[in-house]
Amino acid sequence: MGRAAGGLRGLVIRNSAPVASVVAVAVAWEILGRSLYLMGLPALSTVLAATWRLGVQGDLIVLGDSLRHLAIGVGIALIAGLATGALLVISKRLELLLLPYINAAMALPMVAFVPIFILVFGFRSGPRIATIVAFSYFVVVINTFAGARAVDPELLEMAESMGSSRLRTFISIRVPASLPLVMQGIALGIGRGIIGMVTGEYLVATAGIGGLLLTLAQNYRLPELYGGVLVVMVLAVVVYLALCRVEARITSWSMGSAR
Amino acid sequence: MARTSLERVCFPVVLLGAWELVGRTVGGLLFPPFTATLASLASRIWDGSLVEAFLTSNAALAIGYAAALAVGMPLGIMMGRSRLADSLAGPYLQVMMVSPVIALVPVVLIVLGLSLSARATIVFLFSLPHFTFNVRAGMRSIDPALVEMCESFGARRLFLWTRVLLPGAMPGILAGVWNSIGRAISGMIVAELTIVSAGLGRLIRTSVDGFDASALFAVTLVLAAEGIGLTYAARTLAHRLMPYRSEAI
Repeated sequence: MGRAAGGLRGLVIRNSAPVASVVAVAVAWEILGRSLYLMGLPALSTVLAATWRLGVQGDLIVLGDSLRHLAIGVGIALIAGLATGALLVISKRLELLLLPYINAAMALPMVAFVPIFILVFGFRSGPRIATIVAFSYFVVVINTFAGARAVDPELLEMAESMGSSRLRTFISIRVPASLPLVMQGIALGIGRGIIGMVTGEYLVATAGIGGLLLTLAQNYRLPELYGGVLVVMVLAVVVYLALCRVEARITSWSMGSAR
Repeated sequence: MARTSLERVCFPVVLLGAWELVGRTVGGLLFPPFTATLASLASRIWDGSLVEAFLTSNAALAIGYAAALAVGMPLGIMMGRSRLADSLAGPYLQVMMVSPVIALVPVVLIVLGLSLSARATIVFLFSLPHFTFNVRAGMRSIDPALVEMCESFGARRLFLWTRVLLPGAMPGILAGVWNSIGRAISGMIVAELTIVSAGLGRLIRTSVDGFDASALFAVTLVLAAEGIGLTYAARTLAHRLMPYRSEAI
């Protein structure tokens, strides 16, 4: 009983500091915004009202266009990334050949390649999708590969000595053991895909939510601009949290079945 | 084994050969062969335009990244050491880690205008979250028993910091450098391409507008080389400084 109460108190203390910090920043933002509007920081209430207007007036409909490109790009990156990761696991030769390049690609400033995509794929959806794929593909490959490597070799040996078939071993041991890292790769890939989405909208065509942000900036509509940025950030955080939940679900199930 | 190492040596040659072949056959105006890219690179280095643009761009990188290190280091250390600091700053760090910082670019444009400080700020915003996160993780990775032992043997604060805490956090700090330097370069390019036409970004823009594909590929090659070069330099430095922790890196 006492322990439960202590746990509850601990929970309140642990959560009160972040909440207090967020509230403090919100209040400071409101006060600063009301007193220093000219410095480019509208008050929080103004920003929230502007965000509401963006939604009501239908400006946020462009999100649909953004998310459609995101879905296509991330879809391609996930399928290709999982396939490449699996290939690297199956073939030691491919691993030796390709893995150094894939690791090096993680250090590339992908943004620099967007103008090439524009030149090669034209000015429409092509380069935007290519940007999303380029941003999210490599992290999926690396995590898939690392996940497959995380399998306990003793478990595999035991399964083999017990006469388990390769398919059975794959389904019951390899897949569950690699799922946590693979899921993490998918989550990271989608997160990077969102960055690629906005990047493409800035650099390729003034379209989607990124295009809306640029237009708002050009027209000097600051409260709406801040509102749009908030929308993008909230979208990314919500997607991330949702993926975390999915990941927790799937991996808890897989841990159970592996045991 | 000899066969695979031969393959590893030959593979880049095959890749470059394929690039050359595609460029010469189907590339046309838009996809130049490797040799044309190299020629364009050499001529732009020779006439000084590429060097000048490189220095202009990297001024923003140097300022913004130095600022990110200067802020991220104490912030990450505090978040790693103090639970209170962690829970106060944690929500913001997490949001910055998972959300596209690039969305802030137009805001920076409006607040700071088309200036060097705007470019440096974008570099700062791109690299700060990942650097701070890694410093925090490095601080967290220190064995608390070690710190406790130091304290119970009456070690001075200076000793604790210089002999235990900072060396212990070093792998995390250096991992922070190579995880964030590529992002810093991305920030540098994004700034120059979207808002402030300067440096390498301006060179890219003029090449795209003039359909000068070999110039565009040359600039991209420079940026790719800078990203990979700096990342691997940071990594090599880490292995040199801490051969005893190489498995942790």
